[in-house]
Amino acid sequence: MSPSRARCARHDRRRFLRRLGLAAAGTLLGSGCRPARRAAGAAGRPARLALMSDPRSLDPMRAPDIDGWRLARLIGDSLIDIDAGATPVPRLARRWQWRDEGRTLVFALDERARWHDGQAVTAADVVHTWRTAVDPEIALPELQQDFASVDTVEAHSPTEVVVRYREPFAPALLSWRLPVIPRHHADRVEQPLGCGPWRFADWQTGERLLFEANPDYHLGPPGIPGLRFEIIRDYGAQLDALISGLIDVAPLAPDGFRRVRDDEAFARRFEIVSYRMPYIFYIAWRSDRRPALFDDARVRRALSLAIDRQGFLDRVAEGLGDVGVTSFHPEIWGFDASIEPWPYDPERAARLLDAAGWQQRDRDGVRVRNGVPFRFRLLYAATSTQNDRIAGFVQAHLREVGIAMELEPADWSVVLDRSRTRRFDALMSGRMLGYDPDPYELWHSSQAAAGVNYCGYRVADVDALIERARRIHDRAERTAIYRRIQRRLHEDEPMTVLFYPRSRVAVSREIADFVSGPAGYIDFWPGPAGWRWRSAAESARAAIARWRG
Amino acid sequence: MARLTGRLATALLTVVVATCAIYTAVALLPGDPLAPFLRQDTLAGLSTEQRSALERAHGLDRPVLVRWVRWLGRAVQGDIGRSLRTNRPVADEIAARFGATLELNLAATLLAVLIGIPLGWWSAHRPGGLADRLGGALTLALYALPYFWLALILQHLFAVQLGWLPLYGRTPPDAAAGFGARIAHLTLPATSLALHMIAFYARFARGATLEGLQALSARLARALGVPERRILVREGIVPSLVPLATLFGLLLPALASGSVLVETIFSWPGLGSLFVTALLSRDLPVVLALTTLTVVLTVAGSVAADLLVTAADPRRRVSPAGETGP
Repeated sequence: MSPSRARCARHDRRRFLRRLGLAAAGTLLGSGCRPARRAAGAAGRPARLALMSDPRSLDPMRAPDIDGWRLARLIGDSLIDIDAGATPVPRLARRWQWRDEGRTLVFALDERARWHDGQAVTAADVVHTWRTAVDPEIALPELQQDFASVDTVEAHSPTEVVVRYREPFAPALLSWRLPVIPRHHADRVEQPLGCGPWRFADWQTGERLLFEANPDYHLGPPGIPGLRFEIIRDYGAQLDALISGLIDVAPLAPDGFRRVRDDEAFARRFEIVSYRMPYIFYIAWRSDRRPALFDDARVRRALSLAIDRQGFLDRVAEGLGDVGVTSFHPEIWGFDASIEPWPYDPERAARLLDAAGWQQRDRDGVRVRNGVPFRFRLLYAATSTQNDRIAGFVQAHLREVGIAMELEPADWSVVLDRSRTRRFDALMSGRMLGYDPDPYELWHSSQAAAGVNYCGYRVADVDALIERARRIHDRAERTAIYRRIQRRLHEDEPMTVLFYPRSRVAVSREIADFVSGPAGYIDFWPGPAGWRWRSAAESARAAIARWRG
Repeated sequence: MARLTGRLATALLTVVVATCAIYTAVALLPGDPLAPFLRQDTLAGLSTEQRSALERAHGLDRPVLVRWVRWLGRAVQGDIGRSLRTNRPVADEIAARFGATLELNLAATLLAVLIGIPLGWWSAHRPGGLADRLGGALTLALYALPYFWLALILQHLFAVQLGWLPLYGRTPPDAAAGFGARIAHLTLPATSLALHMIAFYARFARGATLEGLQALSARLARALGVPERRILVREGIVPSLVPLATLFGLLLPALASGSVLVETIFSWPGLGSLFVTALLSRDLPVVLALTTLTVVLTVAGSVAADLLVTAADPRRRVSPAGETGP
């Protein structure tokens, strides 16, 4: 046992015995078993989390980074939110209703909602938020994209907001997860004012941010008195800080996970929570590349069949994630679990390539069709050794079926630029999907020339299905359409979805009711507002259960 | 006076040319110039009109040299732009972090000067003796080891394993924590930074002192029976201060940019970590401001060292006739 582990174990034993004593005392006094969030109230200290760097901004209109957006959403409140399972739930709006065949969306605001300065949140604030979001002089372009189909937003009463769309647009609901901003408070940068469960308290640049629990939050105050985000610039240092007791929650990078997964002392103090966000890691084959390499669906299927994705997960990167099927994600509704990913089958891959006309081989053993060798370059961001390993693994497997793939690692901004301008043969990248399964951006023909449809996938049937699903509000009907799209995508295989990556976070066992899901562990309702500190008795019981079992 | 004016004019020209080179190099880096502003997915989905509007809004539609001239013009008036990452004034970003970097580098320099220079003098006192050999081996080892590696070792040993000193940050979370806590936070980063400097100063001071002690005048003094301690001071230590003064010229830029890696390792909220973040996100105004600051301080340090040496060493002074003194 290393000195740190021994120290950890000693510390843990002392902590356990102390908790056991406290629990016994609590039981004797008849107060040891009081559970529940409100019993602990907002007692204790703030929960301490790690951030890699300062957020760019806490202004929801100008926060292009994920951290800034998540933190802005903790301070602010939105009309609706998603729960841990990514299902829409009310926040500022008590309820919502689609009318006029899906062209009108009506929100009824919760009249109890208050800004952190005590003023009521009104429909006028919502209208102001929308106007700001669609103003290109103020807000980021992505917000204008989110609200592109909105015609008008009106306040019919202080608690009723009516949104009119130019045409029925089912995925629109989730764009109302944008935090509402106050009309009466202009400074969204230095002193952000929200109406959410957390109040902005302090920001020491480069060091930490502090949010305090809002005791007057209309859906009930958070179970812990605050959140403190410590800025620690390295995953390894974040894990060290966690083990040293300086923070309570730390994300685990693959190296960190390997370091602590078999550490019993660590497991006694921390729980490792695993979750999958709607993120896909893929290789996009450019079917419109000239000379043509990936224009035949048989070839693209062969490429997926030739790569031993499960073998990579088992032998090279255990715990990285799960083998992907299509761009639809298992954590988001609409996913068709009956479709199996293409297995590793190099013989079948070879037969498909032969059938597609790639029978001949050149002196290097590379397949040739009509004088064109099957040689191409894989562009990817050289941001981690993990990417290099995956690219190398794919290269070796394709080589076995007679395909020569050259690796082209580049800076991420170069990858961005070249993928936007379609200067690549194949692109290995990742994409965060939305919480609505609408695949318009990825697969609609209109996005093939300039957009995210990097594969250049143009299929009229799929276009029609995507457009139809966007007009329907019934989830079952949309699911049926998305299942058809998935089957078609599975056959066409315009991209090989290598993995559905898995994320991990280590959480102190002192925190109870820590929930994670497709939105991670912060960006959903209730998120950290649902956490509470475990009572001594609960900790002791949990420790006893762990020691026994 | 003419010499000083000429020196300052050269320095100014150096700064202008350096900013042009830096601006051009960073602006011409391959990749999407809008990358610092937006999320990856947003960038991919931008329409041509949105892209053009954003490029216009940020002046990216103009040639690089025109942008540099405009930047220089504004910089002369005190406006060094806004951060592309945060949209805050660059001057505010730098001001918010300058104190932390200055504190760290001053502490490290103080440690290095107080330990390194006396160590060098002591080693030079008896060259080849046990102290000199031990000191030489130690300083050579410290000098050869990468200081970021030393920083990681120190961090792991004293913060993770022993838990004696804070792992990261400049201030404790508890606002009521006192001066002692601040010093505790400073100890590991400053020591990590100082160890390398100690080795450098010690070797430099030893060399300069030894040169004086082996000079003809020192040998003459020794032959005349002057006490060794007096010879050490008058012929070794005092003359060694002149080359050491040139070294202090190099200190000035180090105060602003000498601690990039240590700041990153210890999550120290200074200019170094700001520089790394800005560079990784292609935040041109911040990168440019920080590199320009470093260039200005380097040039200022060089001029200051020059003047200091000239003041300290009469042989460097130029006579009115344009000849150097005796």
